[in-house]
Amino acid sequence: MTESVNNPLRDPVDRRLPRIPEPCALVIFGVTGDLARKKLIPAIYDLANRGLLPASFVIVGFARRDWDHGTFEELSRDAAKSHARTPWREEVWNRLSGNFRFVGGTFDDDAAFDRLDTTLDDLRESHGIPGNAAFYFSIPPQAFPKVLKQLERTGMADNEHCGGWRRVVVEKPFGTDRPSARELNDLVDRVFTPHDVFRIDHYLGKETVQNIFALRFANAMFEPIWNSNYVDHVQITMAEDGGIGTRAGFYDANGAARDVLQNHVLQLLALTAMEQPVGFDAEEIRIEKLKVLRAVKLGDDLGATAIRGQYTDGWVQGRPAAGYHSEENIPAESTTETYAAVRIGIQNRRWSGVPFYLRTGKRLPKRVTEIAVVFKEAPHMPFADYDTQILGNNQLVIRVQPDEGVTVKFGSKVPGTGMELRDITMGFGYGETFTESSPEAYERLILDILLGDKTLFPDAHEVDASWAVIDPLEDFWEGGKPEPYESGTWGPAGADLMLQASGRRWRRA
Amino acid sequence: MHLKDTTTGEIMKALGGLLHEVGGTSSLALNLVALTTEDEREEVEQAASQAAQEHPYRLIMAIPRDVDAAEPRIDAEVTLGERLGAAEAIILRLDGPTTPHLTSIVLPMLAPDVPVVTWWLLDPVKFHLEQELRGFADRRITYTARAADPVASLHRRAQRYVPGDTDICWTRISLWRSLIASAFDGVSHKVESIDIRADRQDPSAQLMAAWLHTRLGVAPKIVDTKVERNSEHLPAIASVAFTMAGGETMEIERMPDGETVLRQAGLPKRRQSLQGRTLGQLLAEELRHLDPDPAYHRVLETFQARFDEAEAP
Repeated sequence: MTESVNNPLRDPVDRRLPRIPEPCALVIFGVTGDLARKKLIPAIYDLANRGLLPASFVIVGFARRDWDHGTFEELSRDAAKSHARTPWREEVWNRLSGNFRFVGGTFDDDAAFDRLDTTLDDLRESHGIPGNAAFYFSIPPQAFPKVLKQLERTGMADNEHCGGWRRVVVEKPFGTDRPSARELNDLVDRVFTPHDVFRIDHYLGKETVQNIFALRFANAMFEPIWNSNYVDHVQITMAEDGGIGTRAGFYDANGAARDVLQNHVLQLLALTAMEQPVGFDAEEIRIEKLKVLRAVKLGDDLGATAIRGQYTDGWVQGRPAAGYHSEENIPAESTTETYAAVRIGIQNRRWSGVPFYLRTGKRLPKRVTEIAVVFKEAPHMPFADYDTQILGNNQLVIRVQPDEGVTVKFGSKVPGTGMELRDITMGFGYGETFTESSPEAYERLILDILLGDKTLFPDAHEVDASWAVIDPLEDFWEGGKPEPYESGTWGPAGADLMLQASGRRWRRA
Repeated sequence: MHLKDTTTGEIMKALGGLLHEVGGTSSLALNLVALTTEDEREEVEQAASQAAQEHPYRLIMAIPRDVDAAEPRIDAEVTLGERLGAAEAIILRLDGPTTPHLTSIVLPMLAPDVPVVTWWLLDPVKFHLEQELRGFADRRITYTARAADPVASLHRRAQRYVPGDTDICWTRISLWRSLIASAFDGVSHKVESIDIRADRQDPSAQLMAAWLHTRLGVAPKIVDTKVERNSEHLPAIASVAFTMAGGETMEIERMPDGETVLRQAGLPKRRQSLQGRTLGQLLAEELRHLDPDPAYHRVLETFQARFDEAEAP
């Protein structure tokens, strides 16, 4: 943060003073969409409620609507009121009130973007905002190039031209394969500077995910065993109980691997497997994450190590669930996967020979995201076989959601006279009780964008390295058919076989 | 669970029993030892249960009752997850000569190895226990605004400061300070003079002046003002005005309803909202920092120098 150098009131040891962004505007493209309504605008209200927004802060909406500023403000108010995390307080809203601007138009409409440019320029006079603005792309990826070109044409993306910072925020998907992602990355990094591009992976805004850093690098007891000497394998699971919902068009064109594996799961993998960064700043973390992602290697026999599935009719949590082919707007012959499980290796000294099993799927028994580090068996057991029969491997599990926390599983003696051993679990929960006060991922991420802190945002090289993992899978799956699995079960049999082949099994998450 | 004429051993057994019933091992972040009176019990309980949402703790609340009684006696109430929310709570009512020996009661009841925070709303000087409690507490929270002579109480605090001391009067100006700091982002002029309209008797106002003095190197003037507050735990500060080298001015003024206006030369006025927080929210903020607060220490030193200078003949 640059202002901490200039502003005499900001003292690094004074940790009570929250980081508050400089005067700025947040421009939301696609402000009529679900994301803006349910996440972005409520998050802005929550930030205001926590006193984390600068005195001069303006929200600019852009969409194909015939609204005036007042209508936009009114609708934003409704959205914030129904979806905000923190309690509703009229006086907090009043402070935001009057700071809404709306610019109507299509992405092809030069005049509309000229108006947007003027609107931002006017904030200098009216609000004392010296050109700072973040552009949030809450729009379909096909529209990115159009909007970027408009921002380039009008000079709105140019820091110098604007006299402040200009940042851009893009949501996944970052392309559909490596070449398309490169094209997109090149475009956005050219129009803005790479430094000003924020790619949102909302998983990284979660407290538990950030806690992986703390767990690994602030403690003495985990890191020494965090390697192939002690770790047998790692399982990363991101399961959803829901189906594809209203995303049929997008989902059918992409599938589970592109939708989830490429971003969330590989980011969790990177945080789990990375080396210790030199320092805790964006650049140093990025370097280590990138090294791991580039060291990822797929199995030689993808037929046995890259399994995909598609859900069929079944029951999920006591309710009947339709199969993928019966979902609205899904072609009957669709071969898009709704489940993917992959075994990968990481080619470095720390992880040599340790398989990482990644899986994600829809219509699984429950919604859960976790990282399970499964340790090797004790090198020698001085107990009789029959006493340790049900003793499993030690595990350290990081639960990302729900019930955020960390559990450790280890063997213990069953009370009684014999020496019978059994697994027990010791848990630390951020707990259901405390989630209430932990901020939404979007609050944290929006604040970081406005502050210019890139620690929690993957950059173009990470995206590129992730696609380098996914593309060969997609090529291999091309033309084939995913294995069916019944809705409400833990995925296709092939995924179980993949682990059984090496005497392992999926942890029931 | 109520225990009459009991011992710490019985109390811990009762707590263990309750924990066993719910079947959980608890993951406590800290011990909170609160010293209070029956009159303030509800206020403390409310604040404690709110703060416990963020910081799971063992609450040990000591209430001196019949201090003149000849025989020592302890009555205790042990609760888990009831009206005190997520905390494991032990409420002690102390008769006779037990109160001066509070430490001997509290020590065996502390959850092992997690930090200890003491907290009381009363004027610390009323409790000669303070010294004794200091011995094992990592952090000591007081609320000097509650003292009979708040500024004098703050001054005593400054004289006897030990790392780990803190004051809700400091906590409650965080939002104010953050607004002011944010207004200074992008201001490049040097400050020439500062006027604070506030209640001189409010320790928060004194701390605000001392903070600005420390950071800006300019001695603020406190213009004694009666300040209307719509929330009990707000600092009694109405406005802070800065005059820069070159004559430009910047003023932040809080209206009684919480609307706060930033007036800066050459710019339209900007509105913020600055609301009072509940005691529970303030306590929660305080518990977020379990190490000594060097920023507070510096400000306290400045306050002491300012105070001594004002008192000097």
